[in-house]
Amino acid sequence: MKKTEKIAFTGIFTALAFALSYIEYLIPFDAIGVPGVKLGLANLAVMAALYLFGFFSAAAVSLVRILLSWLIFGNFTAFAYSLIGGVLSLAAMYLLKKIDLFGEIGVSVSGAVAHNAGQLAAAWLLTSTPGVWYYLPVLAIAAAVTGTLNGLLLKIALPRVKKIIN
Amino acid sequence: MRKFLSICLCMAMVLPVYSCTNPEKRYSASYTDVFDTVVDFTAYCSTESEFRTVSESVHAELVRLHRLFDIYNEYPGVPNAAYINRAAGGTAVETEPELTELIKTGKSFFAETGGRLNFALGSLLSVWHFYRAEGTRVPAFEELSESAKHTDPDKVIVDGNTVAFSDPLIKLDFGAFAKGYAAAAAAETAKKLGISDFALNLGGNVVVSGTKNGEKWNIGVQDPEGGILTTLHVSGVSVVTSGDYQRYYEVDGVRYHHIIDSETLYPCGFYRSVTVVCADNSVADALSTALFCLDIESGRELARKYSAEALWILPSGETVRTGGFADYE
Amino acid sequence: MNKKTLRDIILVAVIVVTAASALAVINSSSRPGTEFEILVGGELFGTYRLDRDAVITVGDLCVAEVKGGEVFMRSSTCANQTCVHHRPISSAGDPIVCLPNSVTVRIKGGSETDYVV
Repeated sequence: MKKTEKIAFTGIFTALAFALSYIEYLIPFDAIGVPGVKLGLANLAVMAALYLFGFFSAAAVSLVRILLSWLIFGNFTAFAYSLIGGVLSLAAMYLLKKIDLFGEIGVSVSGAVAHNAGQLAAAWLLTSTPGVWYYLPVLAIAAAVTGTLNGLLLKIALPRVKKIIN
Repeated sequence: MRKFLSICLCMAMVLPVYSCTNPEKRYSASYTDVFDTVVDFTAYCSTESEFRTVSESVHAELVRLHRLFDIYNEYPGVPNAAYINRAAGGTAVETEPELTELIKTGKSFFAETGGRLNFALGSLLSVWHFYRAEGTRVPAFEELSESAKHTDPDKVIVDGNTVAFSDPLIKLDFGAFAKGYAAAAAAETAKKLGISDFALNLGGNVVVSGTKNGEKWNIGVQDPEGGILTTLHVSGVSVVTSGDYQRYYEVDGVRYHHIIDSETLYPCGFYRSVTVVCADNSVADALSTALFCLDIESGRELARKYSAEALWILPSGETVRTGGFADYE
Repeated sequence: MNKKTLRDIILVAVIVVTAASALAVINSSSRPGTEFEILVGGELFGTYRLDRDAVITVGDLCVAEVKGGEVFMRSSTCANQTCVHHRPISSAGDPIVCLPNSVTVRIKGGSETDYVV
């Protein structure tokens, strides 16, 4: 795949990630009662980019998407939390994919758990409340569930997307 | 034979000093039968039986003083405050040296606090006590001012071990510093028995000695609205708080608490609470009551006189401290 | 099912089990400030949680009730009923005391506080 193609697709996937995060925002998940539980749909696009175009493409999709959300929705704290979560999530997913021992589900779940842990760390650093760590077990379980779902979706969709692109 | 027995007795008396010399575990006991409040005692001792011995002695001392200072009940064979109140109007009565000492301390407090702390306020205080127990009415000013005519400490005459009232309607009431005196005495009892690491809370009068395994004792100051306002880390001092939420009753939504201003004859409304930290518990007790009805500047001066530190909590929630109070926080 | 998928399942299982057990541990030990004690005659009668609504009968002396994170004295056999009129408590400040029955209800302070004045 040529570099220009990669860049172009990265752009498309970024837009896709942004659209997915907006859709997720429309679905109310607050009923769970625990702050920070979400579907993580945008991660689908990030992971797809990772598998199809490599690390830098995935990084671009993730970070540009987070930046876009901030610019358009204007919430700095949400941006800070997303950024830290996004960076850790990306690192975890890249590592797990690299060691090549786990499938899409494993990569997705580790990304989700890392994302939530990152957000808790951000909350802890910004508000100095050690109590936030009490939420880790619940968020870890939620991440396992949503991560598995996203991973399954990716597993199914990936071969078909590959065909379309090539 | 006598010599042998007396030697044994001496040795037996010395033994208690050696108990609790290896302060290790923390034990606590509570009593609710003295001074109309809850008493908590915590000490570090090496065994539970040693702790029981000490806490029972502390309790016994508190019961003794509770009876001695009681102004509502008489006990056979104890010429206590209630007895003096009943009998000293007509003639000089004999009492225990501890009570005459307390009266002298009271006279000194009266002089030093410009009359704010009056051990002879019993006549006025008993009116309020009656209405507070009844709980539905406020005493009329006429009744209060009539009782206030009989509150001059100079009319309490101490001579050796005897007390006489030159005003037959005067009544003693040591409420302002009785708990303080008792807390200090109980602490002395514990120290004499050899423990140096303990804390005693006599219904808001706290004495702390030593440490809990190296750490200072943590005494929380109540926030009148609920919860703890600040925590003091202390050792070897007394902490006493007087608050408008400790004993009160309400009529038509207005709260009437137990600290009565000898000038206005009504409960003082300047502050929600006053906390005093100082070396002696009876001084801390007396000061917390006196400062409750004084303006802040006079209160500061009084605290300075007794080398004490104070914290005022105003009705607005605002707090004022003397210069050294924050050192305890 | 290939090896990777098997490892995925194991990974998810490990995460879920670890988190679930951590959750169980946290819920079984409640934090300070959310427990209270009832003492009778100076002896500990029992320790209870503030976050669990309950009605506690203290012998034939009185009945305490926990509701909405607060504890109050529902009824008592004492004459003055001061304890029943006491406002519900939820923090380590003043305790509810029934002197005639020698019953004390008090919130445990943070592991730090020894006494409250």
